[in-house]
Amino acid sequence: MRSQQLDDPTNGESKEHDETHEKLKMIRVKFLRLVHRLGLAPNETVVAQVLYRLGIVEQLRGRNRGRIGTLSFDPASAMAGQLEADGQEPLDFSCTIMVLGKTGVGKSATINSIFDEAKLPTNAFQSGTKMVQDVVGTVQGIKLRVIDTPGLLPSGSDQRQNEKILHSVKNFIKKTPPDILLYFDRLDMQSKDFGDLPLLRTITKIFGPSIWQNAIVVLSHAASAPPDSPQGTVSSYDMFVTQRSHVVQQTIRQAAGDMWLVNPVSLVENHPACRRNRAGYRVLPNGQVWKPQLLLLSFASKILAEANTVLKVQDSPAKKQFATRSRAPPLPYLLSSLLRSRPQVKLPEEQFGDEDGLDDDLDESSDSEDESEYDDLPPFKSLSKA
Amino acid sequence: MGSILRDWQGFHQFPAATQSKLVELFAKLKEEGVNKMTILVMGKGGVGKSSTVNSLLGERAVNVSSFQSEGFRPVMVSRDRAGFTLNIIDTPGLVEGGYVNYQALELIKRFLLNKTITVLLYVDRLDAYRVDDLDKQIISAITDTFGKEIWNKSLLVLTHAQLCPPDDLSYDVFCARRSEAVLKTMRMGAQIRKRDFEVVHNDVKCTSISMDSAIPVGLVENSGRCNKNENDEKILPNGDAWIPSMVKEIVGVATNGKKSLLVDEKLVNGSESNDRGKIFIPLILGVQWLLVKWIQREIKKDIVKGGKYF
Repeated sequence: MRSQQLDDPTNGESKEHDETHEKLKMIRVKFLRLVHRLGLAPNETVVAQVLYRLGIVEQLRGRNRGRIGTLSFDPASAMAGQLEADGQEPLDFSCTIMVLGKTGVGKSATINSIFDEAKLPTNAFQSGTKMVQDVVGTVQGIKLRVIDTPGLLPSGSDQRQNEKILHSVKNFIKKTPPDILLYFDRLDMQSKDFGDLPLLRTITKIFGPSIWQNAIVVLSHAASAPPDSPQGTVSSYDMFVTQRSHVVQQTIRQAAGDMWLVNPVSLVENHPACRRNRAGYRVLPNGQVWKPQLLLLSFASKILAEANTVLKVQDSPAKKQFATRSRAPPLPYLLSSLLRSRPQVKLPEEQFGDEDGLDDDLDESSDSEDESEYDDLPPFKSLSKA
Repeated sequence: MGSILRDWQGFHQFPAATQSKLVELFAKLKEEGVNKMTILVMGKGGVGKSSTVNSLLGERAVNVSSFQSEGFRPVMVSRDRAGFTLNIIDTPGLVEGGYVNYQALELIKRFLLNKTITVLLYVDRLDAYRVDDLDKQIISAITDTFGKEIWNKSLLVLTHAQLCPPDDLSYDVFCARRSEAVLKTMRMGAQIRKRDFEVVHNDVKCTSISMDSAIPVGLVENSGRCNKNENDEKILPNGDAWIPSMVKEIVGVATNGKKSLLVDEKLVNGSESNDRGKIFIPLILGVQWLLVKWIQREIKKDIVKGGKYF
């Protein structure tokens, strides 16, 4: 991406820019330290994507177009490496994660796996978690707070019950809203015909459609073998995961009323008999170690939000405040909005089903926000033409 | 909507040990004078109905849809062997979009017109950890459509039976508790008390699951990964060869002395339970008519009497 020198910045502005640049550098360092602690390499896909986005967001939102011509992060990487090696400086990062999903899909079990101890009760025959509760702990020195919620009921006629549960959750998180939502489902249970749509609609109704912009889909029982293909042979694990993820993502899109939404998917396996690697981490059939990946995705969202806050503070006198949204656009939304080169097309009513007022509100608010924030988006070629 | 009667070729691909057991069981049926059996398979979508049908027949007789929604119509597969006719009816899933699919039930009911159901297989997954109101509604819907008597001739089938139980439970304990949870919901949905329908089995031991439940339970594993014993028969984690066991349960239900369910016109077009109060209707009408007449007389009397309040 070629950068150009625009107007000469005044001295005051340049000092602000330096500060912002410095703060963003520290955020990058923090992120790379997190990556290091999770045992992942800086050239992993998700890590590279986040760093790239940090760079892009900085270039677009800040006025630093003339000053930062490079997206190389070697100084940040070196600094991160050094701080970790020294072991002196504590990592100033904490994350609050909320889990939601049907009953019996493995929410509490996954939280136990994350902390590597049985902090929450699980039950194979009836609901284990009866009330909203939060669990606090550290993973590799990173402070983590997870909010466990009672399981929701998938049946269409039980949505009243779900609303009660979700209202109690909403009250609980009022004081400290979570940074990221993990929506759970099972990899090995196909909910055909969008059977979970009533449930997802209820979640959208109580929390608002914006909750889905900050959500990661988690599929548990990920060590399940794929079903036999119609020919009788075993189908591929990756195809299995892709098809299952697609159904969940599509249902969320329908419930949220946002056809551009692409929620990232993470896999999880909590069974004690699951294969482990030499370091003791549980390994999936595709060789992936799931815990660091899940934590990385969760932290990435918070990191991006922090970066946006830093940039917003600098921008606020010039640009209008977005009262409707209290959180910055996170990972999935940044990706989809960066690739969009046209204003959002209004899709026909049929695709949203009978969700009238809710969808209209969403469309209006997101449209107006998009236009003002991403006015200065450089024209990208849409991928299909390229 | 019948199907062509074909030779049961799939029978010969079963391992020899399974074949001999099945031959024994069919001989028993013949002794009782039964030379035709119609099995109806019902349940939610995605639980393994079509796969179970294919496993029992030993051939890919019906299509299995892993990811898309199932076919919309019931399908009957007929196979003939040594003078014995086996009909198996595979049906669409009874749940759609989080609600019971009454339309599918109607379709199934009309498909079954003038057929006699010997055994109903109600299918669910062993590896599901919850039973909810939707399951109860499905059972209620089936009961409303076919009548309570259908549960006299039914069998609970739990698929995905090759599993490693969670929470350090043993396989037998997990199966027992899961079956009991599903059976309890079934009893509630059909409004049957536990002691109402006692089924007498020919042997005492049906499976190692629940001995005192009215509806027997069969475990099934349809995937190609199913473990096999030294006779090359597909076995469950408890060592049981499940195909012969399942057929034994089915034969047990078929010969349990209760009447098979004939789906006749009356059943298809409406239930007969409304007849009970019909004789009272003319009586109540008569009483109402008398009451109205009396009120009219009283009003007339009052008009003649009064006039002071105007």
